[in-house]
Amino acid sequence: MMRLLLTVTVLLVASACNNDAQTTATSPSPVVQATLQTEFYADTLQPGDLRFYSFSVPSDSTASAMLGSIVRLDGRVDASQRIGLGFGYPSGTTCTVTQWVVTTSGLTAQLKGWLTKGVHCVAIYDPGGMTVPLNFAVRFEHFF
Amino acid sequence: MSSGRLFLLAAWCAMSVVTSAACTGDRKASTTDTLTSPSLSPADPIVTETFTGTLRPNATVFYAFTVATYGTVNITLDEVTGVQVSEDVPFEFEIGPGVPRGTGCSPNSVLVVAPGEGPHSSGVFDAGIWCVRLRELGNMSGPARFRITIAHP
Repeated sequence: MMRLLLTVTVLLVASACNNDAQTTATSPSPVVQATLQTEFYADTLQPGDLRFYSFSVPSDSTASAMLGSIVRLDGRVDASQRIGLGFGYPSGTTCTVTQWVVTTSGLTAQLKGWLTKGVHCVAIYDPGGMTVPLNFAVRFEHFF
Repeated sequence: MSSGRLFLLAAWCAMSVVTSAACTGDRKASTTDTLTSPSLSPADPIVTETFTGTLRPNATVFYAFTVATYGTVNITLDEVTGVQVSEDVPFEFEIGPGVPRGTGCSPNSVLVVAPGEGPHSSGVFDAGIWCVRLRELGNMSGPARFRITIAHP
């Protein structure tokens, strides 16, 4: 008799409290559909300057950037020139860089990073040592 | 029924009542929590940023700022100085809050305002990175200095 009463009591408790659990389990959860987007940014970088391009990502995700070319204004390729390439966030009139690499141009991504949901920027900057303006082209990929 | 069994039955009834009340209590609390959960009342601006610079004819400039929490953002074009504008054109500028995009600021809305007491633009923003864009409408004959104040949570 006592076992029966205890069993019934436990079942009653479980069934009564289980309703809440079911309600919680069936509540809708947001779904973010993200697709990979490739963007290009080309401009002229002056000595001592930083140029940037802003973009948004819908959720925490990876991103990569490739500094594809560095060319002097006279058209001569400058393969040995090292340039700063970074990810950051727009702040004031600039991009505050949080992940970066100083690199020469190449055809593989020199920078791979992890970005949180929100607005970010890819920055190209003179790490020091530039003496003439340079045209650059960056290809970067992020989730959109 | 023996006194022992009577005692067990009474104990079971008491336990059931207590348990039921506890679970019902939870449900009521849960419902009440839902009903009285804190509504998203926008936070007041507590940070003020000043954006100054030079604005050229027909040019745009922008400034990015971070809103820490859902709240009210007030933007004021305080002044534009150092330039002469003929009297037959309005001394007005386009100003708009938006999102940094590409090499600029993509405004959600724009207003044409005269510099002075504000706020010229006031709205409720989610937490995140936003920007304000200022555009010269072709009324100025040369570059001018400007000052914009952004107040946000």
